[in-house]
This record gives sequence, C-alpha cells and structure tokens, in this order.
Amino acid sequence: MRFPYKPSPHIKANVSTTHVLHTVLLALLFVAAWSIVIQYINFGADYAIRAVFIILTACATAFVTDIAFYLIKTDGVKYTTLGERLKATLPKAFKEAPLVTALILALSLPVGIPLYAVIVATIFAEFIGKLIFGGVGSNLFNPAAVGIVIAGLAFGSTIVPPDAYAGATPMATIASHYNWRITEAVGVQFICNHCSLGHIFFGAVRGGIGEAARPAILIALVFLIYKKVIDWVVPVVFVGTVFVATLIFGSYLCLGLWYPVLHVFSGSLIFGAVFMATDPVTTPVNRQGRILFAIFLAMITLIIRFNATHTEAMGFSILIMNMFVPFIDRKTGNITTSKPWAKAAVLCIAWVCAIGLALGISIMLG
Amino acid sequence: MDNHKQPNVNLKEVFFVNIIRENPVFVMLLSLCPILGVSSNFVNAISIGAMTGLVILLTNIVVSLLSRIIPNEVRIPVLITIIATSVTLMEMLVHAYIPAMHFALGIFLPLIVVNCVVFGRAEAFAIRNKLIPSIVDALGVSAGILLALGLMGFIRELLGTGAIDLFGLYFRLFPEHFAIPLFIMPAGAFIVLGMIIGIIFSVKMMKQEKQDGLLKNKSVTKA
Repeated sequence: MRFPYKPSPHIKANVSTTHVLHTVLLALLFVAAWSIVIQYINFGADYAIRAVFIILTACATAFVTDIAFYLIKTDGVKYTTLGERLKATLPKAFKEAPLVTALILALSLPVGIPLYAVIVATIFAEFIGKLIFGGVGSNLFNPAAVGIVIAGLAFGSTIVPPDAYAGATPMATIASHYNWRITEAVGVQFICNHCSLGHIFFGAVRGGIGEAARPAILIALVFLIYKKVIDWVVPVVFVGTVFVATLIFGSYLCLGLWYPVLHVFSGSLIFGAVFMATDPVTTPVNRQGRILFAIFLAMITLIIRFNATHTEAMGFSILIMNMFVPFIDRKTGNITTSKPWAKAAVLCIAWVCAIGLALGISIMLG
Repeated sequence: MDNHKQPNVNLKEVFFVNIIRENPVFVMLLSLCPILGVSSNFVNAISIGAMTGLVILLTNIVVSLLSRIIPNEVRIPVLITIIATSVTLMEMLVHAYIPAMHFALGIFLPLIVVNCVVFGRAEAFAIRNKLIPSIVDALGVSAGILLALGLMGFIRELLGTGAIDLFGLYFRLFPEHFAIPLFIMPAGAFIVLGMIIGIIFSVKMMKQEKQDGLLKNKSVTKA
C-alpha cells in the first residue's frame, strides 16, 4: 500500500486574501444589482439612476484615493517615467480592495445623498479608515463603517434634502420621532400605513440603497457561508440576540410578534450583520471571540436604536465594537486549554448580561 | 539656582527651534486644550494663541527675574502662583478692554492657567536662564503656538464652513452647502490635528532616513 506523501505545508483549501475579497465582491455586486432593479420597480427610473451614480462614484473615488496614496507614498524605488510609476502603483491599489469598501459604503447610504457627500465619505473611509493604518489587513476599524459614520455626522443636516428623493424615510421617523417605542395607536397605524413587514422585506420602503435588497442579502449570506468566506455564527448570533431582546421589549410594550421582526428587517441591520460584522480583519480571530463580538454588537445596536435619534445604528455599533476586538482576542486567545463547558458558560452569561443591559438601559432612560 | 544658569545660549537657536522642530503643539503635544476647543474658527484661534503667548511672556519674565530668590524646594507652587496671577491679570484686562473677545473665548481664557506650555517654559527654561534668553524663548514658543492654532483654525473654518474670516477680510472658497460641518465639530479637531502631526512626523522620518542612507553610503565608500 502506498501513502501519497508531500512535504509541508499541507494546503487544505485554496483560500487566499484575494480569493476571499473576490467572493465578497461578487456577493456585493449581486446585492447592488438586485437593489438597483428593486429601486427601479418600486420608485421608478430616477431612483435607480441615482443609485447607480452613487455606487459608481463611490467605487471610482475609492480607487482614485488608493492610487493617489501609493503615488505619493515613496517605497524607496525610483521610477523614471510617470507611466512606469503608475504601473507599479496599480497592483498595490487593487490589493487594498477599494471596491469592497466602496460598495459596502455606497449600499448603506440613502438615495437622497448628494454625490459630493459620497465622495467625501469614501475618501474618509479609504484614507482614514484603511490606508493610514497600513492598508487592508492592518486596519483597526471597519473602513466602510467609518465612511457611514462620517457621512451621517458630517452631512447629517444635508443628507435629507427636502426634495423628491428623500424626505424623512419611514425608518427615520420611527427612529427619531418614536425612538422605536411604539406605544400609541398612532404609531402602530403609522407602521401599518408606511412600512408593513412585506413592504420592508421586499424593499418598498425608502432607505439605504442596499437595504432594498433583503432577499438578495440573504442569498448572499448563504453563498458566503457555503464558500466558507464568513463564519455563520456571527450573523446568526447577532440577529438572534436582537430578535430575543426586542421580543422581550415588545412584550413589555404590549406589542405582538411583528415588533421583533420589524427590528430585524428594518434599517441596515441585516446588511451590516452579513457584510460588516463578518469582516475578517476587524473582528475577533476565533469563534468564541466572534460570538462575544456579535452579542455585544447587538447590545450596542439596540441601545443606540432605543436611546438615540440616529436612523442608522449599525455604523456606530460596529466602530464601537471594533475598538474592543484586540481585548476580546487577548481574552479568548487560549482556546485550546479552556474547557468547553467554561466557554459555553461564559457565552451564556455574556448573552444574558447583554440583553439585560440593553433592555435595562432603554427602559430606565425611556 | 544660580549655578544652574547657562550663561551662553544661542538666541537665534532658542527662537527658531520652538517654531517647527520643537513646536509645542505639533511635536511636544502640549497646549491641546485650546487646540481642540477653540480652533474651530480662525479669529478665535489666533486670539487665544495671542493670549497664551502674552501669558508665557509675562511668566517667563517674572520667573527669570525671580529665579535667584525662588527656593528650589517650593519652586512649583511659586511658579503656579505666578502663572495664575498673570492669567487672571490678562483675563481682567481682556474683559475690560476687548469684551467681544472675552465673550467669544469664554472659559478657555481662564483655562490658560492649566496650559502645560506656560508651566513647561517656566520650569524648563525661564527658571534657569537669564532675562533676555527667557524673553526670546517666550516669543519663540508663542510664535509656535500661534502658527499651530492659526493653521488649525484656518483649515477647520475653511473646510467646515467654506469661508474664512481673516479679521474682517472675508472671502468664500465654496458655497456653504458644500461645506463639511464635521470639521467644526470636536471630532474634526482630532482628525485635523492627527493629520498635521502625521505629516510632520513622516517628513521628519524621511529626512532621518535620508541622513542614515548618506551615512551608510559614506561608511561603505570609506571601507
């Protein structure tokens, strides 16, 4: 009998950074295409064309930012002509995955945002979120989340211009007017009129570009899990925690089962859970850490949703949790020595604490 | 303290070293309270810079004159008393003669008393140097602070509102609805400050690398 023998390293699967990024890019392009079509069907060609322009602007800006950065940054090699220098720069710029960042960012922005705001937000996301730290792989914060927060903070007043494209979206009204505490019959009526669950799921409610494509996001999730690009526990634990916590909160407000479903499917919660909370660079390394990350991400998202007037909580909560990733990694680093029941106990305690904290703070302040 | 006095200091060096190479804000990271708090507006930034400079000048003069009689053991309380006195004096003068500036700067004017640069210059320079070098040092540090605050205020006001007000000389670079209000918020101060510090340090590192490369080449050719 012969045993086939090869010297190490034994490559189990052909997975590289480029491969991972290309798979995510494919999923993102699918979501983008679906959402553009949905915009066209639901709101007409105006919206679809605007969405296309926003996505293209973000991609082009991210790419140009990368190229400019590597043209300015010297690497000790002297090039005689500009063409030669540009040729050496292009692969580096491609390696930074500008399109992934730009697409995640563009799909989280509302259709009504002016194009220059898209440009500014993308430059901030690429440059401050990624390149300053040393490029993709070294960044501490999710670059797309940086861009989303910058867009929300810097253009908060102008992001919703009083034109036909985006008045206050129904989600913004729920967030700022009701703070997600829909107690009066008026609030329930508002939701029935403007954003029934079917409307929300199939993207008939105005909001971010990518939010319209929830079926596509779920398909992309299955695809990415099948390709083993993302870990399934993060979106599942995150969405599950949000669901359970809002179920409790809904019963506290005497609301039905539709309330947690509304929470899960509204805003960019699912989009963020699939594409931002699973970023391999800015999330913990091992599974226990990832579950902890997802639990506390849900907690912060809910606290922001219930107590702040911001429409989008995902950007802020992702950035806040990114800060704790080195800490989580250090505390969960030694996974081979700790016992399984100890790990499970820690996770259960963390889960109960997170839900309790989120609901306690919200009820106390509300 | 007398034997600690350094008799010969290069006045030109004392003045210019504080402007770029040892800039109190960008290199030594002192005086961050006014830099982050008041620099959202060019005029306010320049005003608080000028006030800080005047306070440094005053304390440096007084401390270097009194350095002979200040006992070394209690020099810190004495310095703090001198600084607090001069800041209070300045604040009263501003309140009396430039009420608009007093209104605009508000709490940041008395907060100069906790500005590290003032205490740092008194403790590190004025107490062990003679009068003239202390005055030159105060002027140099003031110039450094004014440069830093002016730069920050200029960038933040220009990007944050699209227009700049240079003491009555008003011009607009781009319409207001293209402005990025993030830059006049506190977060913008951190971003702009970090960018400037990053640029200064990368230029420094590039220079250092060049020098090291030259030295290496020299040693190679010698060998």
